[in-house]
Amino acid sequence: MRLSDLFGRKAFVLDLEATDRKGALRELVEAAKAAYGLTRLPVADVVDAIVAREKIGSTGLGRGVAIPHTKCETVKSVVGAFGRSAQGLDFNAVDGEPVYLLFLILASPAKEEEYMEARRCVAKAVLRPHFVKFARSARTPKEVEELFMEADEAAAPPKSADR
Amino acid sequence: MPTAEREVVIRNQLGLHVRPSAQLASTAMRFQSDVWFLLDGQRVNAKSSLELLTMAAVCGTVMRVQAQGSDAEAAVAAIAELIDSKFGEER
Repeated sequence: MRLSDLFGRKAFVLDLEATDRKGALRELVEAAKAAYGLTRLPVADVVDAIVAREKIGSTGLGRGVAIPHTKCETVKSVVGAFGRSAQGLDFNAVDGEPVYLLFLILASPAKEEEYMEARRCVAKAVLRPHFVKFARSARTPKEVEELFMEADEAAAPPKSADR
Repeated sequence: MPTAEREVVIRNQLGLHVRPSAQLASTAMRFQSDVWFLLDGQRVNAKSSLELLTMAAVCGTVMRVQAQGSDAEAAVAAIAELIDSKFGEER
C-alpha cells in the first residue's frame, strides 16, 4: 500500500481553517467527499463517529500526528485525506502535544485488512527521519506529494533493488 | 539494573491497531524503565505508539515484553495486564 495513493493530492487540506478537533475533522471529511466523489457520504455522521472514537482513545500518536479513522458504508475501499494545521490542534494526543498533521482514513467495513495496512503505512512514514518536519514545512501540494512518494520508495524499493 | 521480561500474546480481535498502540505507549510511559517489545528479531520501543503500530501485531501474535530500570517488574506486569485485558475492547 502506498501513502501517495492513499493520500492523493486532491485530498490535501494544507491550511485547515478550524482551530478545534471537530471542525478540522469536518473539513477533512468534506475534502475526502469531494476528492473521491463520495456523493452519498453523510459528513456529519462520519465526523460524529470519528469524534466518538477519538474520545475512547486519541489517535494522536505523537510527533504532532494524528490518524483519525472510521469505517463507512458509503466508501468502497480505503481512502485518505491529509490535513495540516499551522497553529496545532488539541487532539488529546498521547504525548500531550498539539497535532499539526492529520491523516484521515475512511474504510469500507469489508476492507479490514487494508484498513489496518493503511494505518501502518502512515505510522511507518511518520517514523522516517525528518518526515514530520518536511510535511509541516512543505509549501505546495506538490512538495507534500513528493515527500509521500519518497516515503513509499523507501518502504518498497523499485523491483531492481529487490533481494 | 533490574530487568524483567515475559511473553505476551495479543488476544484482541483487531490486534495492535491505533488505540491499543496508544494505550500501550501511555502505560509504558508511566514507568521510568525502558520498555521494549521483541518480535521477529525486531526490538520496538514500547513508549512509541507509532513504532508499536508498525509492528503489525495481529491477534495471536506472540511476543516478549522486556523492561530495564528500577520499576522494570511493575512495567512488565502493567503491560501484560493491559494486553491480557484485550484493551477493554471485548468482554
